[in-house]
Amino acid sequence: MALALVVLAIGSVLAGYAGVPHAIGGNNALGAWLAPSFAARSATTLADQAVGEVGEPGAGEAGEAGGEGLELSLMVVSSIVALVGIGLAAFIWLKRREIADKAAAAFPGLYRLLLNKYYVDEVYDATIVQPIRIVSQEGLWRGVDVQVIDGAVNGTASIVDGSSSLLRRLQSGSVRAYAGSLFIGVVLILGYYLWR
Amino acid sequence: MNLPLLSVSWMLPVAGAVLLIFVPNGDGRRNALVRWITLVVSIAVFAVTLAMWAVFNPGSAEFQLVERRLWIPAFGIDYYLGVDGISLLLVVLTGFLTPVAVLSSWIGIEKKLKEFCIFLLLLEAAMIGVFLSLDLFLFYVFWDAMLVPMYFLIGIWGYDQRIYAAIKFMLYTMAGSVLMLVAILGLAYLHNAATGSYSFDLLKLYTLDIAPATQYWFFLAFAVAFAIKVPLFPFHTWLPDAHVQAPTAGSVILAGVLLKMGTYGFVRFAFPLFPLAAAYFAPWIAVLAVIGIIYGALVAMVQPDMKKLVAYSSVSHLGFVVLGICAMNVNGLQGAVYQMLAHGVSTGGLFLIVGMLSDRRHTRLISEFGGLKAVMPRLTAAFMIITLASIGLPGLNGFIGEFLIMLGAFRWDPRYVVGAGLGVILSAVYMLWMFQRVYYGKVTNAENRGLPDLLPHEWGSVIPLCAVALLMGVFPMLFLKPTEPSVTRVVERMQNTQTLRVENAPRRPAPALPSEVTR
Repeated sequence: MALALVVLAIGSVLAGYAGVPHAIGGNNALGAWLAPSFAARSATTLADQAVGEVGEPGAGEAGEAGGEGLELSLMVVSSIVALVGIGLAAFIWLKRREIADKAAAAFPGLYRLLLNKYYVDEVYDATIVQPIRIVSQEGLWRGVDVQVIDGAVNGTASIVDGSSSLLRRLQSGSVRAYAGSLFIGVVLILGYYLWR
Repeated sequence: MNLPLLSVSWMLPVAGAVLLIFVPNGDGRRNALVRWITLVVSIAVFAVTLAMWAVFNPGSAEFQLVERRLWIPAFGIDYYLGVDGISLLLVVLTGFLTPVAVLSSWIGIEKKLKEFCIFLLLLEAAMIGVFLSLDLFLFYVFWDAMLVPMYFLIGIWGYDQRIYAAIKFMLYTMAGSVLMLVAILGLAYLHNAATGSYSFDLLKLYTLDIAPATQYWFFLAFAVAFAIKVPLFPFHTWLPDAHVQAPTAGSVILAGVLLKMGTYGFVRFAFPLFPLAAAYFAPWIAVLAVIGIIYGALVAMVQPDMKKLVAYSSVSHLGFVVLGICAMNVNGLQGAVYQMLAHGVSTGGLFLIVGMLSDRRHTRLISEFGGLKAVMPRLTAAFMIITLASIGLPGLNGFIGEFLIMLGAFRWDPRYVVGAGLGVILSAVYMLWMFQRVYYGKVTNAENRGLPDLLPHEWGSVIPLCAVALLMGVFPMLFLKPTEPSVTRVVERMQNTQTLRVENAPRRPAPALPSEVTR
């Protein structure tokens, strides 16, 4: 694990030199790396780009001239902020541990918020993970799958089963009942033709 | 090559089953002999399917190694077998998975072992027959013959609710296939009306000019039969029951091969026989497929039972296959065929390993496990490989198929790919979540502590599966090349007919069809 960190640390120190800012006389080796991927694909975008290029050079140079000062000041400010932060952390955690505890006690709400990483995981879990899980479990699986679809399937089976057991009663095996129903049938049919 | 390879490939397992009948094994004596006979026969069948591949000419789209004998001449029914790039690899897959299934039941099945092996071999014969038949009547015979052994495999050697699951499986599938039978008879009748003689010859029926309205009905009859088999949402509820209740060998075959018969049916029969209807219904079937992809994944995610989770994941993965078919272009269809093979290998593997856990612990509940990584590292590694294959990690088999399907579907209509892409993410969610809960962490259940790692016969089934998953991932051309001419032929056949029927058909023929109907 430590070895991996060493490799990453070396990389993070050196990787920045792939693009040294113009302001300190450098050159960005990766600046145009992806440019071919964004080449114009149709006539209209080509035309748009041509217009843009015609209008751009002056603006670009002005931007670069103004940008150099801005770039320098941003570099200075961000470096100072980073160094102050590193220094402060080193001072508190290596020399005066009690400052951290006092700060935590002074701002308990802020401390908990930061300690729990702004509750991003919890918010994500509550708004996305749990709803999907509950809807899938109770709505889709136990509801749609088991109740609706399988309910229809098993319902068809129950209808066949139920109507068959009703019809089964006609097949009682009792000769008297068969003779009786035969007689009633004859009476009904004859009656229909006689009374018509 | 005088040996009729195709006939041999399905008759050999039947011969093996007949041989087993004469092995006296009343009280479980000679179980070892029965196992070895079954294994040797199934490996021999695999060798025959590989020989088929060896003599197959990958450059041709024609049906090859054709065998044809008159069977019932009065109705134009022939014993007519042939193989093309699409069916070839599915037959090889069947040959490959059957020995794996035999090994998976090496110690799990003790009751009536001989009968179990007989049904397994008969099932293999029927599955191979389904893929090789070029006569619709013969196809239907094999299609229904396949149900019987599966019914007994689930009903006799299954888990607690096996009877319910077996009957549900049987009735569901029969309901669909009876509709298909009506449509098959209707096709023969139409052939008689057009030419004066009955025929069930698939290649002759391809050329039949069928009125659009008739096509719609016939297509639907076929499509329902195949949609149930796939299974396409919402015809899928037989699948979780059948998969979960079936013994491990049954689940491996069911997921590995039987489900592909539905998608194979779409490619071989429903789409090319009724191209206009296919173009009309394809967008709707694709909607069901995308619903199935997401729905299957979401429901799989919340299953407490590992076998049920894998079963629902099949609904999701087979949705991809159907989507690729509906795209009706070479990319989509090739991806669909590839995904059929890939799913056979990876889901077969998942059921196999879940079966190993279930044999050891007699439970399949995820919550009963945890921390197995420390107890059985080799089994864990095998499961990890198969899991990643199932998710579609590049370099393993699942990736190629899914990628080609999405490419094909994107060329057809990008909107479907949005849903399908969501399914890819969700497949990682449910598979890795299960993997995490079963294998990582501390061993929380004392019963898991002394479980043995992979046994010799389990090595025998796991290694080929992992090897093929890897082979399909890094060297896809081996499998794509023989399928390409046949896939191109299917796509051309559908497009030609559509342009013939609908003058100036747009690239997406679906909107043009209503005018065709009203004309």
